[in-house]
Amino acid sequence: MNVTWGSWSLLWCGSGGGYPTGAGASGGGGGASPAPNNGKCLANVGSFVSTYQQNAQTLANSLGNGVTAGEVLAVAGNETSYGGGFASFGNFFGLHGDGPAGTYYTTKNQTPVMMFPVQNGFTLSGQVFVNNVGPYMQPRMGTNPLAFFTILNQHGYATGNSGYPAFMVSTGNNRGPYTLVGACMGGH
Amino acid sequence: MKRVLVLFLVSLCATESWAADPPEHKITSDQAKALVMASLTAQQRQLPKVEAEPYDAPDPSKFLFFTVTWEGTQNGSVVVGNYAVDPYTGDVFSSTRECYEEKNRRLEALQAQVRAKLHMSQSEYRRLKTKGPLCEQ
Repeated sequence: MNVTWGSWSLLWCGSGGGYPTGAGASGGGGGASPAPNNGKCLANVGSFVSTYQQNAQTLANSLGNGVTAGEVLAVAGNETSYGGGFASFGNFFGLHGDGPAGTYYTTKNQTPVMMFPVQNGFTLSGQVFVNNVGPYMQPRMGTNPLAFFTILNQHGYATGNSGYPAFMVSTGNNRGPYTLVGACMGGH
Repeated sequence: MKRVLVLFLVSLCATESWAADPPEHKITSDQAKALVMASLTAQQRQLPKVEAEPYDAPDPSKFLFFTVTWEGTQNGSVVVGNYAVDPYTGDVFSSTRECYEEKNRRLEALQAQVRAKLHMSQSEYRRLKTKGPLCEQ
């Protein structure tokens, strides 16, 4: 960074790595950051959505009842932190037990987690998810995301967290997975 | 005057490079795991076989990531939640909800212990404090 004061022109110290520059930079040094833009698509969520949106639409169609790709992506995003966690084993829906590509056992308690071929993991684990939760779907429930996530909460998703449905659809400064996914889809 | 200004700029450079360097002390993975477990609600902590499983983030990140799992149900999910821990401060964030920091008394007590072990002052904590992995994109 060049700093010019009158006739003074000095090369700013440091390479600039990590230093906030440009219009999008937020204030550093512990100061208050600007409030998040509620319409902004976060990079990791955007990458997740663009990779799996079509597969999610297929799964949503299988669930029927107005379920949307956004709702399916929100579940998978929350289960895997948008493609991390058990997605590395092709399991995007937190599925318990033995999978077609084997079983991952958690480190401490040896809880079995399904493994799927990673390249088709979203669709394959999604089909198991559809088979598991499909029987609980109700007519047109997909048009009400809160109702959709409530049904999942009652049938094995985020057990022990009754705040899950509200968490998923939360808006404002602490957007939940459904809202974050929606910001990357241009609506649901 | 010229000398004073140069000295001023040199001192600014020193301050900036110190601020840009990561701090020397970080918490361990086991400490981070304990912090994640402390961030759970009482109801979540009582789930059978609950534990925090570390995983590598898909993209490079300074945060330590964990999936909390439990025994699960036959056709349900084993995932309780996903969390990110700032290794420099011990702050625990949701890694799926934007800018959301986990807070409760149990967690705050453990964070105080961890920061004491790091010899971290309040002012240094404030300097290092972030808003979490989903707030810094």
